[in-house]
Amino acid sequence: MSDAGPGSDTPVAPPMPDVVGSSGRGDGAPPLISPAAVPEARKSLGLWADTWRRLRRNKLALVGLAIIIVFMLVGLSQIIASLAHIQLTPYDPNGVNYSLSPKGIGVGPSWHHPFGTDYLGRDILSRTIVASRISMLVGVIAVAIALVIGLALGPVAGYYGGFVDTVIMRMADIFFAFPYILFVLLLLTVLGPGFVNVFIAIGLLSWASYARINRGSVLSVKSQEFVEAARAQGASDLRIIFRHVLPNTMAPVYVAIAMGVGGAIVTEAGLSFLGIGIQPPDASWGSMISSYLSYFPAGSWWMLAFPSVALVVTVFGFISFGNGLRDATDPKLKE
Amino acid sequence: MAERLLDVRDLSTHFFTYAGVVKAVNGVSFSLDRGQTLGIVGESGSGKTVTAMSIMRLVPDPPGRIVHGKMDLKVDVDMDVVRTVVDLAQRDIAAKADLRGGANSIVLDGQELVLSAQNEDRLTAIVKLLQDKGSHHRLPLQAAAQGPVEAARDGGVWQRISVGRTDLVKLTNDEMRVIRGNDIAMIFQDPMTSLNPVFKVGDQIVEAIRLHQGKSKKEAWLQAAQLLAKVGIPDADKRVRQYPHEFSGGMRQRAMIAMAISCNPKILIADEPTTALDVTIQAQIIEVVKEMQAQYDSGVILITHDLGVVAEMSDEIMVMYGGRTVEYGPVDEIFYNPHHPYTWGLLGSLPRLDLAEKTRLTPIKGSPPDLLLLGGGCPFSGRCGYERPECKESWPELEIVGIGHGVHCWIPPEERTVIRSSLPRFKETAA
Repeated sequence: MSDAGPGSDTPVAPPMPDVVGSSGRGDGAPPLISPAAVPEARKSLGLWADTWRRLRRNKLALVGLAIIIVFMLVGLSQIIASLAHIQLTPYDPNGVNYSLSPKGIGVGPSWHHPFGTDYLGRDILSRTIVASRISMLVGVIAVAIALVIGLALGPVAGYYGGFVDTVIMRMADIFFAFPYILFVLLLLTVLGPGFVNVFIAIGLLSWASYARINRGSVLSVKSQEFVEAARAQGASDLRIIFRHVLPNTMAPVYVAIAMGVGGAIVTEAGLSFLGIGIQPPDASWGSMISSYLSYFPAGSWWMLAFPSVALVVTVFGFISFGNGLRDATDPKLKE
Repeated sequence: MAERLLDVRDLSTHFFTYAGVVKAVNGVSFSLDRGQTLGIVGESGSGKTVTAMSIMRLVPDPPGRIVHGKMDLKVDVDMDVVRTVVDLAQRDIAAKADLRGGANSIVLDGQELVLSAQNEDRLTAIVKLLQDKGSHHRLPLQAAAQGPVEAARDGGVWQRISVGRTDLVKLTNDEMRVIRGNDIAMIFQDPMTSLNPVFKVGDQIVEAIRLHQGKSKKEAWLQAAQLLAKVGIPDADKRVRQYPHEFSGGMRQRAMIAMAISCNPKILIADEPTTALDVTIQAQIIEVVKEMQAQYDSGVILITHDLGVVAEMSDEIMVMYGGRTVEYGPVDEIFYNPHHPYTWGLLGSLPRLDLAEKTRLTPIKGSPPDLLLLGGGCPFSGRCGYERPECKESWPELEIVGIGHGVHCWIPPEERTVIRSSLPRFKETAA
C-alpha cells in the first residue's frame, strides 16, 4: 500500500512500453487509412485528436479508460445522490438488518444480495458502490491540490536552476523523506479528522513527486532551441516556463496524474484501513476492508473480496490508462 | 549615407567556468547600417554565435557575461508614447510608459491613457524640446539613450521618433525584452527544433506579434497567415493552423523567418540559417531572407561558416578566429584581396570550378585553439605558418589596408603580398 502511494514516483519504468508501443504505433504495419485519405485526415488533427488516434490502438489503455469511465460515472452519480439525499443503490448501504446476518458473520452472495451481506446484515454491493464516492473525491481533489503546487514549483525550479532549484527541491526531498503515514497522521491531527481533511493531507503530501517529475523534463526541454527562440522574441520568463516549456513536459505528468489518482485512492484506503481516514458509518473501500478483515478467518470471504476487487480494478484502470496515455502523448513517438 | 543601426565597440564576452575563463568573444568591433548585410565567418568555436547572443543579451548568465564593450542600437519609440511622456515630464508626473511598438496608450500610475491625434505644430515643438534636453528622465529606455534626437516623417505624418542610441549592454532585462523580437529578431540554425512542437505554427507567430503589438487575436492570426504567404508558403491560410511536424525543414525555416520579421525588426540576426538544410532549400531560404531584407530594409547579420552563402548575401564580412576579429572588410576585398593568413586558409580550402580537376584543396593545418589557454597573442599563431616572435606576445593593432578593410596581423604588408602570391589559390590573382 505504502508502495503505491503518490509519494512513490517511479511510474516511468513498468515493463509496459514495449507491449503498448508496438501495438500503439504500428510502424511498418499497413496504414489504416488509404493514402489518398491521409492529407485530408491530417489537416484537422489537433493535439488531442492526434493523441486519441494513437490511444485507440492500445487495447490495455482502452480497458483502463473503460474502467475509469465506469468508476467516474458511478462515483459522480453517488456524489450527486448524496448531495440530493437520494439513494442510488439497491439497498440502504447503512441499513442494519440482523436477520441477514443470523450468525453475526453475514450471508454469502445470493440473487438478492449478489455481493453478500456483512456482519450487521448490510448489503455489500450497496456499500461498495457508495464507497466509490469517497475514492473519486479523494482521487480528484488530492491530485488537483498536488498538481497545482507541483506544477507551479517544479518548472520554476527546473527553469531557473541554482539557488531557486536547490530551495524547492530540498523542500521536496523533505516531503519525500518524511514517513508518509506519520505525516498524514500529523496533518490530520492538526486539521482534525473528516474526509475533506484527508483529501487535503494527501494532496499536500504528494506535490513533491509531480514537482520532481516535471522538473526533470523541464531540464531537458529548456535547453531546446524553441525556448531560445521564444526568448529571442522577447517572451518573459514566466511566459516561457508556463506556455512554452510546461506543455512540452506534460507527457510524464499525465502518467503521474493517472497513477497519482490510483495512488491517492490506495492511500485513502490505507488511511481508512488504519482508522484515521473516513470515519464510520461512511463507507470507504479501505474502511470496509479494515472492518471485514477479522471475519475472513471465519469463512466470510465475500465481505473482504468485493471491496478489494473494486479497489484493485479501479487502480489498475488508472495505471494502465496512464501508461497508454504516456505512449500516445510522447512527441518522440510521433511519426 | 545609410542609417547606422548598430555600433558594437570592443565587445568582450567571457565565460567563467570552473576550469578557468573562456574568452569566447574578445574585443570585437563592427557596425551595421540599414539595408546592409554583415557576414560573420569563422570555424566552430570562433565566437560567431556568442557574438550574436551577446547582441540579443541572451548569453546564459552564469557562466557567461559581457565583461566589456558597448553595443549602441538606434532606438525609436512610438510618437504617441513620446508625446505623452514629454507632456507628463513637463508636468513632472512620474510616468511608466509602455514602449511596445504599436502602443497607442500608456499606463500612468495604473491608469490607462488613450491618446488622441495631435497637430503638427505641437509635435514639432516636442521634438525640439527633446532635442534641447538631449535625453529625458522618465522614459525607461531613454534613461540609457544618448545622442541627438531625430524624427522620421513618412508622407507628412510623424511615424516614429528616434531618440538617438541606447547601449544594449546597459539595459535591464525587462527593457531588453522590449528590444528582442521587436528591434532585433533572430533566425536559428535548426528549424527542426526551433519551433515548439506542441503549438500550431500560427500560434507561435501570433505570439510574436502579440508580444510587441497591441493587436487582437483575430488580427494577429490574419497577419500570421499573410506573413507565411509572404515567405513563400503555399496555402498559407490552412498551413497556419498546422503543427510544426507537418512542415518540412525548408518550410519550418520559412516559418521561422516569418516569425522573425513579424514585428518588422531593424536588425535580423541569422545564425547559420541554412546549415541544417539541403542545398536546393538553402538557395531558397537565402532568397527569402534577401527578399525580406529588401522589403523591410533591415540590417542583417549573417553568421555562417559557408563562404558561398556569405559571398552571395553579404556586403561586408567579418572573419573571426578564437574570439577575435582577424579581418574585416567589404565582400570583394575579403575574397580578392585578403590580408590575414587565416582568411587565406579559409579561401584556400574552398573547392573551385576554375582550377584543374586534380588540384588538391589546401586545408588549414591543426585545430582551433582551446579558448581557455589563449594568451595575449594572436590566437592563430599556433597554426599560421608565417609566425614571428611578436605573434605570441601581443595582439596587433588594427591596420587599414583598403577602403573599409582592416586586418589584425603582425606580418608587414609588403611581406604579406609576397607570401600570398606564392599560395596556389592566389597565384593567378597576383599574376
